[in-house]
Amino acid sequence: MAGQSTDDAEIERQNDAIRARYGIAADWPPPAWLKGLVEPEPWWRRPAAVRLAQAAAVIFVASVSAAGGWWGAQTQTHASAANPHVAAFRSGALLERGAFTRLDPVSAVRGTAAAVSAPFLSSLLGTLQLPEQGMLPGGFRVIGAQAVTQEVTPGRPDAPQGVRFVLTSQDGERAFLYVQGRWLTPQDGLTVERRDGVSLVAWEDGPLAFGLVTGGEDEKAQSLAAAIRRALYGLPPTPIPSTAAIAGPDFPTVR
Amino acid sequence: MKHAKIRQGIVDELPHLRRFAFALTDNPEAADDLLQSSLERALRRTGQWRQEGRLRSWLFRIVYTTHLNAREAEKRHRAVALDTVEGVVGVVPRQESVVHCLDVAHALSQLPVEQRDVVVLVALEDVSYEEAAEILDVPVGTVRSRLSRGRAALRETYPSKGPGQGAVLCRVK
Repeated sequence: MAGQSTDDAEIERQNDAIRARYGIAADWPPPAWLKGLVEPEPWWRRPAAVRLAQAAAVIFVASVSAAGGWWGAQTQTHASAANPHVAAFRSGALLERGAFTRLDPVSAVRGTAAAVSAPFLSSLLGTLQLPEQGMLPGGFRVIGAQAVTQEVTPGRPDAPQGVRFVLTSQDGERAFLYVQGRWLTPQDGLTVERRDGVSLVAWEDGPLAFGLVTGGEDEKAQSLAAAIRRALYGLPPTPIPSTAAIAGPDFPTVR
Repeated sequence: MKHAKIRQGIVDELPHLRRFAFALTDNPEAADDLLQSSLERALRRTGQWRQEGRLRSWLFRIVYTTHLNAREAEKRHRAVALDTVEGVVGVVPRQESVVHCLDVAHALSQLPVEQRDVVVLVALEDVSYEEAAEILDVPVGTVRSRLSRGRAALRETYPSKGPGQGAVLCRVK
């Protein structure tokens, strides 16, 4: 009997570890393509039963909002936040958590700025002067870029596409720079948030909004953000711009 | 009616399917790619689902089959992203908590894939042997033996001691 209970405990320990590692995926916000998947036809072409299914899908999204906490708080609490893009980038911040010191190699840096279909954003991205080696603190440099869809902007199906740049430092630390079109309200300065070991610095320049996600200290993240911001426009490094911290919901607990 | 039921089933099962896909791929982006391919496939094949069967098992099986196909294709064509600015980058962990968390993934990666797949399926979804057999498309006895061997191997590579007390350290591949 003692052996059996030991086995059970060992199995439970393994299960807990596996759930802790992979269970977080159940909390990821529903992506945009799912909405398209469950709402494929215009309402006037659907039979009643399918309309019912669509209603259920909407209820699902709403229930995820309520139960997920993070997702729900993101769309409700922060609808009037100082920088509306913070909410959009927060989804990216959640997905990046744990990736700053990830062991496995970067293998999914796919797509480029050229893959962005929005003409205005694509052309604007083409004007950005990415920081060259030696321009950023800690030896950070851009190693890849990937087009991302509007799924980082929950509740806004018309949100623009964006690009996720992957940076790595000379120590192998990673950071992720999100860039998307600014189509809400203008906001000067940097907005800084820190939750559960993740720092998010967001700002807007011209028609673009940026969100820098790092696992480092606030000051370090701000310094890097400021350097990136200026480097993107070919300006020499200067003191950090003014910052404004805003309150936000906690990230969900990893199960 | 059947189509609507499957759509609703996808909605209901999405969190479970997503974490299963994540466990199979160990990569958030690859997991969503896998899930999207799988669900599109499921919607194209609604006629193949027998209504007396378990929709959950059918959906999980499609995810798993799609994953196997992708894995085989990857073996044949070692994919290299054409637009990667620079090659792959390995990162050395510096926090023990991170090492401990990733240690499970590392330990799982040491298992034969068929053992790994059944271990993560059972651990994450708590499915019965019969349902696991249905999803993985293997006999129940095979599920039992793979699970048993996988658990035993995992006990060796992922010891119960905490991080820094003898746990297997992950290494950059």
